[in-house]
Amino acid sequence: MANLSYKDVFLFVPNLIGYSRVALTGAATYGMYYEHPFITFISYAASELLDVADGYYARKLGQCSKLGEVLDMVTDRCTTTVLLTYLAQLYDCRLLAILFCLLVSLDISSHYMQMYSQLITGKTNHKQMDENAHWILKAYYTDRRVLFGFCFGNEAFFLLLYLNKFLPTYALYLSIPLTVAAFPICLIKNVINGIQLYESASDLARLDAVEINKSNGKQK
Amino acid sequence: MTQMKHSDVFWFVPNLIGYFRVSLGAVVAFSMYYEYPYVTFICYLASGLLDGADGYYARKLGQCSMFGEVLDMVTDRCTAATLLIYLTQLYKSPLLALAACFLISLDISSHYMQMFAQLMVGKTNHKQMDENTHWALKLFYTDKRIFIPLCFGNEAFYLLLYMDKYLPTYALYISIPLTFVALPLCLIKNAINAVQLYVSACELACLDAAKFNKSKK
Repeated sequence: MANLSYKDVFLFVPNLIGYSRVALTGAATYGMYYEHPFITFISYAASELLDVADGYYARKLGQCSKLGEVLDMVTDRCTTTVLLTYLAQLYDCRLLAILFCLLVSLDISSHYMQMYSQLITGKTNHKQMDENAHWILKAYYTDRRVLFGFCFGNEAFFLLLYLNKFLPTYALYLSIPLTVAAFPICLIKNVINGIQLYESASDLARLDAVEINKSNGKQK
Repeated sequence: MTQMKHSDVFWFVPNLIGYFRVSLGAVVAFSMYYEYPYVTFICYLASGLLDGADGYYARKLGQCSMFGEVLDMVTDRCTAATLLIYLTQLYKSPLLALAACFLISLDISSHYMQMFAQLMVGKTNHKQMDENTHWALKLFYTDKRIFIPLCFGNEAFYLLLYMDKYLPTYALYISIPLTFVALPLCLIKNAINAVQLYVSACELACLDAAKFNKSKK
């Protein structure tokens, strides 16, 4: 059997799905700033559905790759960021804009910190937990449906906030209640991000302390 | 000598500097949206200068930590993103807004991909090089005379774009030419980000291919 080269990994089906998600994010961003809400909605929703598909096909076709994992994570960060960036100017409220900037920062930093600590401590996938972890995180990560529900609800909340500015009045009777329903999910998801940031930071600091104690011990 | 705990690491001087940089970033967010351009300028500049200080003190006091390295990286990403987010609405131009979104995405993804690849390959510091490295990256990381002006020029470009909207006319005679000088630095720095993104992606793909080939035997 022929040896795989790195170029073959670039052409894995889940990674091709990943590239299309990047393109869809570009289309959604274009739709936002050139005020085509329908393009934005379709592109963003498609990107989110494909987010599930790439993991599914990776496992199904035996094409899991580290490249795919990072591509997936980076695409998630960027799609959330561009939507929140636009939301910061869509609602003409400075306090809300600052809040969106904070959410972007929390999203980036919590995933970054978690990824780094997981890689250093040797956990192979950022959704693995150990017994010392906080109970909320354990519940969140042990049940895939819970995880999916929170991630979906969080993204849906922001997308609904966007749509509420463009939908005709009759549709708002549906979308505004949906937005209110999604709000607590967004809140909890971001609290989880905050907890994850602190837990991951602590994991790294623990490792740092071990390293320093080790090197101090050698000096005796 | 007493054993160090993880909470001690949180109190390291460079990490305290890091927390201060985070709070400066928060101040910047407020002062941008509540339109205090000089507060924004002072805080953003201070944050940038402290970015150099935290590394310096880490090495000087022997307080280097992985936590500090990630804190530093994350603060850089968030302060740049916040400024770019504000720039998307400051200039009423959809094209510039798209460019800013692209730059935020490139910044986040190139650093993310690079960090992941470095950790997988086992390098301890993201500024280490080997012989196979792309020429542009080698030049960028090894020569301080290139590295510092490009990083500084990139951030200065965004900050100048911001200030150009608020400075009195006489000051614009200086700041607008400075903005044009900084523009190529910004373009080159982002081109390097893109190269880094691709190179790191290739490194990961190589690791993936090697793992696959090993498991097939």
